[in-house]
Amino acid sequence: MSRTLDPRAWLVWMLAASLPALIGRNPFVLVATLLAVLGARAAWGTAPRVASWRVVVRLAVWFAAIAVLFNLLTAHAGDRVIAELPAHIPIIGGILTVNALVYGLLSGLALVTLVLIGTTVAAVLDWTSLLRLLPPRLTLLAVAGSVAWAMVPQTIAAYAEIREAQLGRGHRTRGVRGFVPLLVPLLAGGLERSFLLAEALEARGFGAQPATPPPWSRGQSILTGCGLTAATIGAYLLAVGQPLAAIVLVLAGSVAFAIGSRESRSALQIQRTRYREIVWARPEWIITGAAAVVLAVEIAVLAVDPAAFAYDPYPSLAAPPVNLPLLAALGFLLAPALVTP
Amino acid sequence: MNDSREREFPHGTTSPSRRWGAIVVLLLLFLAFGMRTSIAEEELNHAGLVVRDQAGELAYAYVAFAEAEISSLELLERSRLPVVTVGFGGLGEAVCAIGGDGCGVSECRRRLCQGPGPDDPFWQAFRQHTPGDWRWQMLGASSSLVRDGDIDGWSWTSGEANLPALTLAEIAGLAAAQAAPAPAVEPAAIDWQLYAGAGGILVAIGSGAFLLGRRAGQRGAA
Repeated sequence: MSRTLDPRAWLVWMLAASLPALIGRNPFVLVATLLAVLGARAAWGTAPRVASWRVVVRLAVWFAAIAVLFNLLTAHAGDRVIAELPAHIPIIGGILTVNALVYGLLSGLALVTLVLIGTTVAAVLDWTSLLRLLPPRLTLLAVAGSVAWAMVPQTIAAYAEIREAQLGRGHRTRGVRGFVPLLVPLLAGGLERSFLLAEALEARGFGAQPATPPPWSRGQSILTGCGLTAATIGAYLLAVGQPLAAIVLVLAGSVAFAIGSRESRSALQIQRTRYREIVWARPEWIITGAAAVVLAVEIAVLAVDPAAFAYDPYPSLAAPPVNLPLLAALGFLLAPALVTP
Repeated sequence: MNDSREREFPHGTTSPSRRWGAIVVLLLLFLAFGMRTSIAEEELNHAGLVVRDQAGELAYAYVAFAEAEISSLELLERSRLPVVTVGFGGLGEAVCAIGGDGCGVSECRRRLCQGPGPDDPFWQAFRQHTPGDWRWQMLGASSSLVRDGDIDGWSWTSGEANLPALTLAEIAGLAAAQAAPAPAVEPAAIDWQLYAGAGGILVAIGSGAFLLGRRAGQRGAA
């Protein structure tokens, strides 16, 4: 029987894979990341939940195509003119350039890559294990997050069921009105599922005030909040190309979060029943190690040669920069494909 | 009869009256075009443009326009400086980059190329009211109107214009001097070995992804 991997390994991999698409638009870096992610996704494609996310990927491809068209029509800049629309047309009037087309394509590529990373991790991640790994004070937040995250595949599955049922009744989707018999039951079913879930959570005491005061102090809560905020700001600074300040903030935030989320002795005495312990074995080491190598190279390149991630086709179209060590390191993102169940 | 009218001239020659007629027509055409050109010269309006880039280098443009007024953005675009702009619908257009300084369209849509700090620079538009009195244009480049004799300034700055005091005549002279043909610059050579290496790495990653994915698929099917 195949086992699911420790979610921490997947989260580290997701961070390493997402960084290039979040930071820049270098076509070589984007293509290398996309190929590696496609390899990992193909290898883990037999996971039961991967199929339910395919609609989201298709949607992302459509949005990427729209983004390409939008950029071509609204960005009137560049030295390679394709055509010119009359200037009196609002917004789209002006020159249409190859530069805008290239930038739109690269933005679309980044969008599809990020969606592929997110959906792959969402499909293979063991959410129950992830919840157990979080400190007790974040349980409410984690449960709400996991419920929200699980809503997408559930809605897609429900839509497929409703569509099959309506097709069995002879319904044919023609035009916008044809979707009414599909969307109304989908909305009703979604509301019903939400009520059932809310009742189930309520019955298990979700969100209730504890009978005894929480074992952690107000200072610890503030420290946890500050840690999370600092880590988020650090991630933003990393994305806008300020690696030194970002690393300092992320490290400070991690330390604050670790201290803030440390449980007191009384909390540690609360015993949790676990029927299946999380295992950290060779596959987890391989994925985490490979992702850590990729992350280290990315941060080093960001500090030494930040232009390696970037490419701007405005105002003139030129060859993008190439950083061979970075491209080679991105190949390590294929690590999950080596440890398939 | 008809002797005078049917006088024959040697082959290939024309009668003196026709020749004089052609000369008169040519003269009239010349006068008409000459007058038209001089009238057009008189009708044209002129405005000046000063651009201060990230390194503090100044560029000048002296732009002629037939309209009574144009927008500051049109003046910038007619200056032949490489400009990147992005539209914000009814709010008009924003200038993202001039001559290579600035940012791409996507980043420009978020923060107009300004960095995370409040003192980080971005392209700001100014108008010179009297020599040296540069004032920030509150309406933006799309809505600010340029008329004959106006002088616009663009500066990559966080606040102060840092633009020099100039008259329109001085700008015209500086722009003419800058417009002199610059020595031809050879385009940067492309390092094909580097790109071959990048292509090799991409092929290797793609092949690895394909083989590992297929192996996992076969294992799953088995």
